[in-house]
Amino acid sequence: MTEIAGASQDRPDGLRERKKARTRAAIREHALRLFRANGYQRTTVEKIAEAAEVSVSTFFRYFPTKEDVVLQDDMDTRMVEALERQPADLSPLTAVRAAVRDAFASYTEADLAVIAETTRLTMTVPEIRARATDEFARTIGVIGEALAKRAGRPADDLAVRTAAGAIIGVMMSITMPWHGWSSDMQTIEDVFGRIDQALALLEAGLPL
Amino acid sequence: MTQIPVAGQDRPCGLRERKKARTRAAIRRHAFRLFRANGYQRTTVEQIAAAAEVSPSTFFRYFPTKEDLILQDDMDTQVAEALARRAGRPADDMAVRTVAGALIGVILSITLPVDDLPGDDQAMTAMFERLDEALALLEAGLPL
Repeated sequence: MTEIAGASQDRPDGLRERKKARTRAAIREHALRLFRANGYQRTTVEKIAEAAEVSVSTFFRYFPTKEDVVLQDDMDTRMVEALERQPADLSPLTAVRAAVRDAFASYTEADLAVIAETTRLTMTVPEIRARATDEFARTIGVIGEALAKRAGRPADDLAVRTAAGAIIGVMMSITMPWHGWSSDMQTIEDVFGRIDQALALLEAGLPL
Repeated sequence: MTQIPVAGQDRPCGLRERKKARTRAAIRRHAFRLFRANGYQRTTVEQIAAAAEVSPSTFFRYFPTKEDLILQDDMDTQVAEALARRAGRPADDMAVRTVAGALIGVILSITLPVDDLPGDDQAMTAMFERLDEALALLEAGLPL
């Protein structure tokens, strides 16, 4: 288990991986900029690809649909990396809480602005919102894999999937209050504080 | 499965209410299936209504616009309201919202992706058994 704890630090993050991460980030940056300038609907995948200097087919290799550019925010990747750094003896929920805190601490102002913007788009553009459930499933899978590694269980283990579902469900209930959402509702700091509180409640056995 | 604590058990749920809930759920289920297959923009209300075997005017009684199918995503609100009633707390209470979120997350972790929902009764029963097991794990404090 200790190997896993330090995995992301010693993993030789190959040149290719870094290049891929850069391309992905560039596509996202240009997409968000174009959405801001021209609106989500009027920005085509072609225009995004052109701005990011990649081909349309490369775009689709990174993001299966235009909606995914908004939804796949890499927060889950950072959380998984933070989770891998937590001591192996922490309980899954304690480790997840610590990982969320670490991930949040690593966010820059610019990261937070992107999160605020993608959240706004998700709440207000119907087709993005329609796709959000798929993103939800994908994130459960990603977190499930990280939990499975920690617990030394297969990723499709029911207990693993259940824990991942509960964790992501709780986080979503805080970040995506489907009703009564407004862009100036809360600051992002506030949201992360509430996520921490909610995960603590989950850890305490959901007292009600 | 009997204890998916979604609808408040004590709420009198009349036949008409249940039928309405079923129609509403069927419209949304078919809509999401069509959105996935053909895209949101290209799916018309007429196509959704036809797939759900209702008239367009019935569709509009349930959902004033196509957008409302998505924007009235009321599962978490309904769960939170039912839990709040049972616990005698407000629906926006942090603890209530957290329980609702955990329940929905667990339910979705078993039922997603929606396209893969089992077609026959036997597979459906197996899925509900898994769901019941998953909810028991949640109740037991998510042992791992």
